[in-house]
Amino acid sequence: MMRATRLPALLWLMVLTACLAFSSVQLLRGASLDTRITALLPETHQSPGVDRANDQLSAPFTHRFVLLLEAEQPNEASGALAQTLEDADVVSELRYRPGDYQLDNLLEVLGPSRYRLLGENLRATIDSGDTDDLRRQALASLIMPTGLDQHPVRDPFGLLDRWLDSQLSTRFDTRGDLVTLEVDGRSLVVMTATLSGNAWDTGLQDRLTDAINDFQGAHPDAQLWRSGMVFHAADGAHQAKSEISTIGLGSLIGVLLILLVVFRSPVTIATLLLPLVAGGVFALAITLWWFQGIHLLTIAFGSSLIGVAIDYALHLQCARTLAGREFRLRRMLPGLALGLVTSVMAYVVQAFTPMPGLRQMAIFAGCGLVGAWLTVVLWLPLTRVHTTPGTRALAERLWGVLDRLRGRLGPRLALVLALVAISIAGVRLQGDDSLRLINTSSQQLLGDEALVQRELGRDTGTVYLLVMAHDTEGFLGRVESLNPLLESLMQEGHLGGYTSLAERVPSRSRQSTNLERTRTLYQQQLDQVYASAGLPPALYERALEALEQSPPLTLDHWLASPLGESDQRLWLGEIDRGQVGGMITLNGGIDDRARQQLASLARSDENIELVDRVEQISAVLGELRRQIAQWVAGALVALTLLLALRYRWRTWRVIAPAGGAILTVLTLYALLGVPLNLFHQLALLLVLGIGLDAGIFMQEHPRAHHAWLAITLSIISSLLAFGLLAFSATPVLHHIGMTTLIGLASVWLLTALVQHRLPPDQTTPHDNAHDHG
Amino acid sequence: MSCRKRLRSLSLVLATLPLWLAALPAHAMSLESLADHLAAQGDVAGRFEQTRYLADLDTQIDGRGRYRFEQGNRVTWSLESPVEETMELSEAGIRRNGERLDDDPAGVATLIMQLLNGQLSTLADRFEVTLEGNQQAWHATLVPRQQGLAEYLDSIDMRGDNRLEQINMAMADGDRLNIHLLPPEEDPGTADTSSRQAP
Repeated sequence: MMRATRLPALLWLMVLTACLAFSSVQLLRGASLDTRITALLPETHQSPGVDRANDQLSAPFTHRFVLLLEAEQPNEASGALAQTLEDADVVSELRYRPGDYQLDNLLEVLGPSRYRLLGENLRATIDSGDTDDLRRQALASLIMPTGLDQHPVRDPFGLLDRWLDSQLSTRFDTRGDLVTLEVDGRSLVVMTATLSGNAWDTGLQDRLTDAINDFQGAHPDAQLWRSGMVFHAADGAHQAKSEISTIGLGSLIGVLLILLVVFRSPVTIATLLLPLVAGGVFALAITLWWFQGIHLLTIAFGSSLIGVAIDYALHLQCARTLAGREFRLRRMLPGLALGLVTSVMAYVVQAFTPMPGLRQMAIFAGCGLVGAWLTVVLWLPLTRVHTTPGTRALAERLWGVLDRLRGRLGPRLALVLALVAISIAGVRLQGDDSLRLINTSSQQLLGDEALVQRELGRDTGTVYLLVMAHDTEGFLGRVESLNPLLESLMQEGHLGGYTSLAERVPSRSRQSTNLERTRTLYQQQLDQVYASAGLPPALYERALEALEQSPPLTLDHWLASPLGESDQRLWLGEIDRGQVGGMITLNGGIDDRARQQLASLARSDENIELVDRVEQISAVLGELRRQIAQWVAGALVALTLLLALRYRWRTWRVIAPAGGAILTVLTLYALLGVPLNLFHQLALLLVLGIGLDAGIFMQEHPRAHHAWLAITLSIISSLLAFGLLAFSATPVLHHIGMTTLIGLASVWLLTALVQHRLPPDQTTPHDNAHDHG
Repeated sequence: MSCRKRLRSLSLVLATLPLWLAALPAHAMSLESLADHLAAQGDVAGRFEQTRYLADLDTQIDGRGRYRFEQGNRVTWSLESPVEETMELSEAGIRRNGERLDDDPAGVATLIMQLLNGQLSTLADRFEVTLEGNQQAWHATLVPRQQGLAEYLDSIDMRGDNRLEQINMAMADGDRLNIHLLPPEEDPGTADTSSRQAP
């Protein structure tokens, strides 16, 4: 027998060595360790316009960051902060002094077209015919210019200045050496920076975080508000890293302690952990090979799942410890094989979802389980185990507990309870698919972000209208036609605000009608302005000439200018042959009314699309939640049929621990008003896997003390791992932990309660001919 | 941040240059004592005359009105001709014809108030200041330090005796803006003689 088992064991060793070598090479070559939460989300299949729009709109938020600084000595503090950031080599450009902003060539870009650029108010004033105020203001600024290029011939009415006034309603203050912003009566220095590298680069994140910590250490009185993707990414990576280490370590120490108490042999414990290591190596190699990288959350979630893998080792070693020389692997194999098949099935259904993150987790967990199982079956029988009286005493005490619990839940009562649970969960259970679930940013950072976005009118481009047209003129005209609706939504308080290219560059036809209005204004008032100012009337002709020669402002010209640079993100240009596109971003709170009106507008016009990325992702999360529920329900039905082939009428005892635990969790959440989310469901998969293992082993070895000992140990060790997850501050991990905590406790209790009542003399401490009796 | 704002700030600062003098940085000789000397005049009110010379048209526009400076509190600059317009600067901000100017504003008002309170660092950072003469006949030249401002403004000249008398502003394109502050007790009727010497 030894000879027969040694060859596969040797082969398995070679496979694992190869896996280890492959993973090491991959990791040393810098295989990507992904920390992006969005990488877990499915790539939505949509028009290329939407994809490009998403990238373009979020780019400034990704590549730049904003700091608001409050300090008693703002000059000194902001200088020190700038120096710290520059020394840390994290920024390629830093702006916080008025001189840092590129001198905008306003006159050059807008000057020639100024007669064609009229704000809404000025248009209305000229249309009303009452232009005397405009004449008075013109006279005052001709003698004492208060704006750019207010010249009797070039711009007697200060049109350029009025246009800029209607455009730039900025609250920035450049009174001194610093650019500041008044917020709630406090003056904050505004510092904007462009990252020198990638926001997802953990090295850059660390340098930035350290730099800011250094600054805050040196300036305890200063307060900082942060905005930018890099901070959120750093927050997420930091939290995930620290939780992986605490949860992983806590789980390991807890499991080791318990095993030491039970087996009292370091060698046995080593053989229990060996499958975990082997499973981990196998899973890592396959995942790296398949996905060319691995997500941090996969490691966090996956390494906890491998905790299920210890099941097999526990069952085997418990049996060997208690049976001694009478142990036969053959008797264990059906249970072990069924345990593996059911658990792998429960996880692998996730691989059918379109969520790359879930697929990765499924592959990782599945491979981990297979690797651990192979190690248990191929290697563990080759090791020696020590039979200790302590282990046997403990197994008997546990068996006593089982004896007191068993038989208390009969099939009829179980059916009634299941029906009650199903009806409660069916009526009361709510779902939650909001994006908050996958948010890893701290409350502090979210508060900072909200303040900066509100005060600076910075948006992350998550809600917008994508507008398409045959050419630029058609685009601007279409965007302009939306202004009345957007304005009225804003005035009625349904919409916070919007940013549109047509506000910067009016369409040609609008520029033409504006030019007509300017001509009207000149005809009505310019003679009198010149007369009052004592200027020669002959200037009138020259002023009109400037009007005639005025070229329209083009979108390209504007976007290429320094001032139009920040508007580039709103313009896609050509997205298809004969089709151009651009965006109107919506910001500052959009209520249902606004959403409805814009959605119905988008439905009625094929050239307009309302895109809400947050809602899109929520919809995807919801869809996945429903899909997983359906797949798992289907898998459960299939498994029940499969198990019925072997267990016949005892099948309900196999299914009850897992099914009952899931129903317990769902009913509890329904009664407590906890809405069910995707991550609860993922955790229920784990409960399902461990529950099925428990049900199978108790049916395979109904009189064996080792089976109940192994089940108890397995559940306690998993509870330790996941009990820690429930205390995680990362919502995803918390939901998983909470669910597993309740679910696994239920599995243990139900496994005991549904067992058949046995006469006391028929029980044995170990496997023998009485199995299946 | 834009040059437009710098220019606007500049013209508002210009309108209130009388106030500045009380707070010019003590870079050169007796500027500090001159500032004290001028500040000792207390609240001042009177008439002003101004001329904007347009180089490309080789013509000029004249204006006149009243100024009032309440030491440390408020500045009123009332244009009476060719059109009536009042600018008022105080701690609360800037008002134009009684209406609050929301635009750039609070920044400039605060700047002015800072200057009045003797916080000189801000002004010294923006302009290179040279002072010649003595308290009875002095002449100050301000040259902008910032490139952005220098593209529009060459320099500001100020002269006076125991009060500020004349401000001449030379723009980069050759335009000039000259302001003559008449003595508080002087009869407004004599204004013509002084305006003629302007450009």
